Amino acid sequence: MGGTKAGVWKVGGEGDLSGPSTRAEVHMEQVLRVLQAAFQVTQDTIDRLRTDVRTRPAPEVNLQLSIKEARELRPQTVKGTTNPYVIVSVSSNSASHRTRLERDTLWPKWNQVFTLPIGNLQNEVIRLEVWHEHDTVKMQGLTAVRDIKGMSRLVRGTTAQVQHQASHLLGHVLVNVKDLIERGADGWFDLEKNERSKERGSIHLAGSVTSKAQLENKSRQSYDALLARLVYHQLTATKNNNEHSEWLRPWDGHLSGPGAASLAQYAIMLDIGEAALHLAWWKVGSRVPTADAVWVLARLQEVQAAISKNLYQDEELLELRSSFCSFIHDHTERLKNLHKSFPPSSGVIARRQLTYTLKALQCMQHHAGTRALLDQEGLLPLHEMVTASLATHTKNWWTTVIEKLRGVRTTDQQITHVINIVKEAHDFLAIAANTYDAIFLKEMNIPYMQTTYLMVSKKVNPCVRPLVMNIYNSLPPLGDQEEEVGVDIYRLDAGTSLWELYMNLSRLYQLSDRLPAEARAESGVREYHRWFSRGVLRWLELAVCRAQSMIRRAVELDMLEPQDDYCKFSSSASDTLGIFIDVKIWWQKLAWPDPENSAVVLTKILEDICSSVLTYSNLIREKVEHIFHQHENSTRVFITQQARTLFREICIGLNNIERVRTELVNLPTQFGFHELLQKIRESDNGDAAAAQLEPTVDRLIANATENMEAKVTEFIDTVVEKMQPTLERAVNEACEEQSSRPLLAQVLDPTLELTIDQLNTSNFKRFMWRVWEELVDIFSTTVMRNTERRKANYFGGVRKILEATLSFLSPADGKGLDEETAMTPAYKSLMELLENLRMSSESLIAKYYQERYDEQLEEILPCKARLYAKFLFTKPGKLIVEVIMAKDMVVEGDACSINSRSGGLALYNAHQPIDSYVKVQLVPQEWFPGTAIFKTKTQRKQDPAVYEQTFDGPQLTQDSLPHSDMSKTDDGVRAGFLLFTLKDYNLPGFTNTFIGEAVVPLSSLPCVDSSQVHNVTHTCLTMTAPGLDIGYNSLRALHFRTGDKVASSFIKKVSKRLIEPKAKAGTPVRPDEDKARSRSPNIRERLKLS
Amino acid sequence: MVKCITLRWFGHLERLAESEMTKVVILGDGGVGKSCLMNRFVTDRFDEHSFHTIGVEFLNKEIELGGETYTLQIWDTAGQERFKSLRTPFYRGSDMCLLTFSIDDPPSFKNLEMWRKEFVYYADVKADFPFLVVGNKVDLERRVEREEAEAWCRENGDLPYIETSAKIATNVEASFMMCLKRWANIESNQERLTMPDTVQLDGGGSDRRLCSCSS
Repeated sequence: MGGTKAGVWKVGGEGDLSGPSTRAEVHMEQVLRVLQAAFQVTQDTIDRLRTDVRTRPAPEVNLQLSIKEARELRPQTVKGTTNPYVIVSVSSNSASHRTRLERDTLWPKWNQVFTLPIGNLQNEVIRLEVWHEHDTVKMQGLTAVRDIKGMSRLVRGTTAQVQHQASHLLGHVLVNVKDLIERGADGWFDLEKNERSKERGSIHLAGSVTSKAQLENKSRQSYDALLARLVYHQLTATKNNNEHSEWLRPWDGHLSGPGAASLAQYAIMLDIGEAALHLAWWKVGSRVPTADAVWVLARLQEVQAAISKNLYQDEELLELRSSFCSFIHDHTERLKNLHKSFPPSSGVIARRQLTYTLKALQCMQHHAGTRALLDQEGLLPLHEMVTASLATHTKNWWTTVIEKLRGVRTTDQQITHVINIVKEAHDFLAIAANTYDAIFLKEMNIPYMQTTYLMVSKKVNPCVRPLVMNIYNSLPPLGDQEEEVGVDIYRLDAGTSLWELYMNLSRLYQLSDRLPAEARAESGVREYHRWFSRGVLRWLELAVCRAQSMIRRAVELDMLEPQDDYCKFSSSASDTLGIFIDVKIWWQKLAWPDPENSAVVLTKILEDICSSVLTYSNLIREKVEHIFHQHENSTRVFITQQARTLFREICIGLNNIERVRTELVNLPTQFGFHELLQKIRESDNGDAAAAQLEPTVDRLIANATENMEAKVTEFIDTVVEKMQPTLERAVNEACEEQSSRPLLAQVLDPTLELTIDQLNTSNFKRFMWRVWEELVDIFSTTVMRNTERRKANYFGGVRKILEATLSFLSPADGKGLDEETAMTPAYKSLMELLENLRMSSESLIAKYYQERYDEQLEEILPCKARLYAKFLFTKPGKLIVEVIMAKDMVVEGDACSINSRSGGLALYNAHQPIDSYVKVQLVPQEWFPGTAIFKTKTQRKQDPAVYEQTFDGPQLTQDSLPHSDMSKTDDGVRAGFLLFTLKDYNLPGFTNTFIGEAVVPLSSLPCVDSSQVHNVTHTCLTMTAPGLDIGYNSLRALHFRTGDKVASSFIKKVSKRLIEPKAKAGTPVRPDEDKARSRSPNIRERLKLS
Repeated sequence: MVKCITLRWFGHLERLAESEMTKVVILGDGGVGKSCLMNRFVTDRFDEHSFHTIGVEFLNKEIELGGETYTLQIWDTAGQERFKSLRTPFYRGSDMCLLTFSIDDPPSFKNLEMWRKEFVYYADVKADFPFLVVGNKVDLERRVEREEAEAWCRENGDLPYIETSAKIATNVEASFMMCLKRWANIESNQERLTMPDTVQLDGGGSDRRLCSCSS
């Protein structure tokens, strides 16, 4: 293209003629003559044409010069770089153009296109000057000086500044337009200066010549110039060209009325097409820094639409390309200064501008035509460029922040600075999160917050961690002295600087909450709490020490008076709980972030609290016992006024312990242990961890609670022990008077009235229970002491008093004992004893046989023999007994026959022959005076022994049977019994051996007509010996009646027959006494202690 | 030699007269079977795949010795390094300490020294605190010789040594009993203010007897 154009130029005006330039040098007049002859053109016509052409304005040829880049420029700044820009001018024209300023580079890339008017293509020369703009010298520049050269550069720069030289020529080059075109419109040109041979670098240029074809373009350029002028005017007029105020009122492309009108007219005059207008507006608008991004985006989209429709020529596209690059460059630069370019303080405006700027960049990236142009420039994907800019922004910010830590020596100062750094980091990230993150994420899918957070947190870590760890690692271990001096500075407690640091870090860490888990895991401050763990543990250690001494003091100062009318505990309980609340508040503020660690630390806290609580219980008890000892002499403890005061103090002490104890149970919940567990469960392996932690804490609390309960119980024991003599005296009096008054009205009532006021509910119940136990015990003792000398009606009275006492202690309102549970085994046993004691001896004997009969039915005793017998009443009223046979007999000491029962009927023991006989009698004997005892014949050495003897009893009918005096109580003892006794006959002079016995209640005998006697079948009776280990209440009662002949002779008789367990051989028949006494060994022991 | 041991329930305070519980701490590398020992002793169970301990765990066990019932409060600690700062506070107030290793794991034996030091430092007790050294996992192939372990115990103040297996329930109860006996001896010694040397010998004698039962 360049070649043909040159030819056109040479001929001058004859634009239509074409041909190689060499041929044009043929003499013009000759050519004209030839042409004139050939086309028969008259001389007039030729003259007219000639004049016509000469009057036309000479056609302008333009050079589209693209200044692309430069390389290997000579360093000028102290940093060893330059701030280059290029001034370009043409020899035939005084106008010059200037490129953008590039900073800090030796390899600048301008990529700017200039349209230069060319006078004569053959000898037109372009002059390019590469200038360096001096840095404004700042003092900090000194620090960047690395060597002598840098120093000299600094001096030169400084000098230049002093002499008001803003720029310094780096080199220049004169380029012949022809040369440029001949090099294929693209090439590198070496720079030179002062004809010296030094290397000055080179510059990369490209260019093309346009003429008629670009006439339109030319007119557009004038339009561009006018537009730029108007815009400039507009911005100056509205004072909107100041970068600092740019966000107050972004320029929305509006021009003043006359300006806009003349511009529109000019466009019509020049006949500029729509696409070209769009191009012009975009080109101008995109370079205005204060332009509204929304408006700019609209311009961009217009241009892009035109690109898509292929409305632009190559030259225009070139122009666009350059303009796009400038736009991108400008804005990536702006993002490097994010906080200034889009200040968070200007709120929604800045956000809107940023949003639309990013949208514009994104439009460039995603619009195929645009992206193709950018590719020609070798630009990276735009979001990468933006990301890089943002990273630079963060880096620069951090550099200024970390600068503050420089030169700080003492630990305290370091802490102060670090606190600030963490705070600034937090603020920086908070801005990132609140102002920018959403925009970058939405518009360009850049995780700005995440990237920045990770960057910053990783920089914070090495700044803080070693400092904190050093402090804690270098602390001396806690000494034994109670007051810790000098250590407090580094205590991790509200108000200290380390606490502030911890809190700042905590806030910094919390910012990462909105990040995805995998990003959080990379955070540099993820484990910030661990840096402080020693501090935390140390605080706890100190807290325990302090708690101990505070509790001690609280107990010392405690007057044991209720704090107010509504509570029943005193100051030390509140003080102690207050300590725990302090710990709780501290713990909540600490908000340890790792649940697993927290649970362990919390376990430690709870262990310490449990220990403190035990200390407290012990101290309170000591205190109260001390008071007790001072009042040892007051005997009727609960009656006198002084004693009342004392008693109140005791109650308060008890309540204090109980109060703390009940709070203790709630502590894990109060400290948030269960929430922690829940969090742990949600993590990996969380269930297993929770399954370990939960029971540990539960056990811890349970242990402490039990211990305290034991303390309370011991405490109550001590009190009741003191009451014991009073109670005992009252019980005795009540029994003597056969009235419950001395006990209930005179002692228990005032005592309980006092206690129910003073003690809290649970302690009151405990106390009641303990008093009840003690009373049962005292009653037992009293009864035992009186068994032998009292008449039956005395015991009836005692029984009533005991019953009254129980109902007194278990009122219906539920404030006292539960009646059911209050019927303890000891109580029941005592009641039964009393019941028996008030019966006649005969009835007791009858009861004994009843008990034997019950045993026989239950088959709990070993079978000594089986007896086959028939017994009945006949209608006229006669008892008939027929003893048929006995078998499977077992004699004590006969080892071989022990198994006879299981051996069955067939077993016959020939080695140990038994000479058996059966005795039949009616018992109790006293009820059947004059009734004979029947004996069968002795069957020698037989088993089974067959007797087949019938006895006719006395004249008795069921209706006429004697009734015991107990018949009213309906306990089954209604009448007498038929007693069968099986004995082994010994030689005369020896007592016959008792084998076994069986009883049959007379009331159970069938009653038939005398003619039907033979129809009654026989019965198989199991014969047993009475067992001692079962314990017969009736025997016990009888035993006490030493003065009663009936009783004593009966006891004598029966005791021979008892199976006496070997271990207890020789003990008298008072089986239940031991039981009664051993019911509560602790009480006994404790009583002895006093 | 065991001299005067001050039992500390709570940090720096004097020992309380009524300390119903005896606190035992089990230390040793992760995976030597501390939790298993404890669980075998307290519940007589063994879990092949038990989860590593988080910080600390504790169980109560009542145990009878010489007609008296003692309640052992057994604290099991986490062996893993990452729990270090969390477990150490629990050392305070211990009455006894079981130093455990696994006889199939020589490094765990090497680390006994570290554990002993850590305990002495954090529990704030004298170096002659009555430790009991426990070689666990005798059911596995032996890689630490008994002589080696005994030698170490001798060098470190004649500590008693016992070999156990929580898995097959060898000597587990014996080790805790041994532990308690030592403590009870020291307790009564303190009360009687007698010279501890005799007790040490007694203790040693019974230890040996218990050990021989196992093998």
